[in-house]
Amino acid sequence: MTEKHLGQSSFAVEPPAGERELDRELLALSGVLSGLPGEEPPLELLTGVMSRLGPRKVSRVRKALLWLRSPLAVTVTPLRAAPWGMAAAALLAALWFSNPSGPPALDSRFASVTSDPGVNVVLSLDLSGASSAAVIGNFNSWSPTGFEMRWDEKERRWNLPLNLKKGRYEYAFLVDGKHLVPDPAALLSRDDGFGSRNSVLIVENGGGNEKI
Amino acid sequence: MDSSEEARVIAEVLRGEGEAYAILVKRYQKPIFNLMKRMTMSAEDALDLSQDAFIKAYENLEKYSPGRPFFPWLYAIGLNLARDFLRKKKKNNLVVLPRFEDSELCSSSAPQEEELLGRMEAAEVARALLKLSPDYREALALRYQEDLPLADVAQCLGLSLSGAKMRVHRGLALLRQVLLEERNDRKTPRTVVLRG
Repeated sequence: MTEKHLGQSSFAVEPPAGERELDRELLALSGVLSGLPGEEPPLELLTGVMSRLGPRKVSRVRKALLWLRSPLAVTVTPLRAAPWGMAAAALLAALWFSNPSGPPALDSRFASVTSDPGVNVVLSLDLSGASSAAVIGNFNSWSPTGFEMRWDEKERRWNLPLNLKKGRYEYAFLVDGKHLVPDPAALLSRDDGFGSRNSVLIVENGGGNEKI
Repeated sequence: MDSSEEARVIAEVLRGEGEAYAILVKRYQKPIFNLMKRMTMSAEDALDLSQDAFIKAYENLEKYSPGRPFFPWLYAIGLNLARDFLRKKKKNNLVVLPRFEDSELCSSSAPQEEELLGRMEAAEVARALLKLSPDYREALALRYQEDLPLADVAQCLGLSLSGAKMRVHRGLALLRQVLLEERNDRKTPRTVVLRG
């Protein structure tokens, strides 16, 4: 909008119709651009990059410095934290004393390997010929006990829901109690030092459920 | 992933936990691949260059300034690799597609007789985008397809904020002109002369 001053009065003058039309066209064009989907990269992009990464030699001193410099996401002030802290303590105490068996359990559908809230993931194996399957990994000390997978008749797959904290995990499937099978759906794997490969799972803060 | 999460992942990689880098690759592989595809018009070259970009970023991670967004830094590495690749290709006399440059913009900003409004097909716009020079094309792709704020567009392209704003505005005007010219070309009947 432009203004014209005539003596003591002033009024806004509309831009020429052509300019308004041009603005509308450019706005519409930017809208179409925003909607262009883009192409999904091929799977081998990620695997190709990870297989080409060389080892990073980091001295202990540098490691310590990097740890000291790593940002921590903490947002709290003493004034704000105090009443919430007291309320949380009172609530926990009330829950504890009202429930003799202990604090409330996390969602029991997901075998939890941590008392902290994590991300729900489902490890899945397509192997209909097996009579049993379990998941072993660095999150359960490589022990299948308590991590037996359930056969889903509808999906025709073995599934195990897990609740994992954000981080990096190595795992494999233990089939029929004796065969170690890497996860064919895993994008990353690592030599286990014993002649076979562990699958690698990286859990981010997804905020939801993820099926692997 | 917010910037503090990103900083944590980068710190892990710098501490020697190379596998954490997969998080960054998964996060940014699509925009980097699309950048390379736009620059090279070849899926094979785009794949190779995308991998090269991520490897180079990994090898130079100590030079990345914590606290600043990671993607513009990564993107700038990728763009330079793509430009070097195209320079070598040109040197070897391989085909280079024609590009519309700023000088081809009409001096008048008034719309031409024919209106562009109406149905603007996405495929039509995508094709026209590829006809722009990389400077304008990337400004538009970053601003609208990747939905980056202008400050990040400026950092990706090595421009000031006002420079980035100007680049995006001119890029839109140029794109509009390309679309109009293509439509005019389609409407103009072609005369084919057969010589016996």
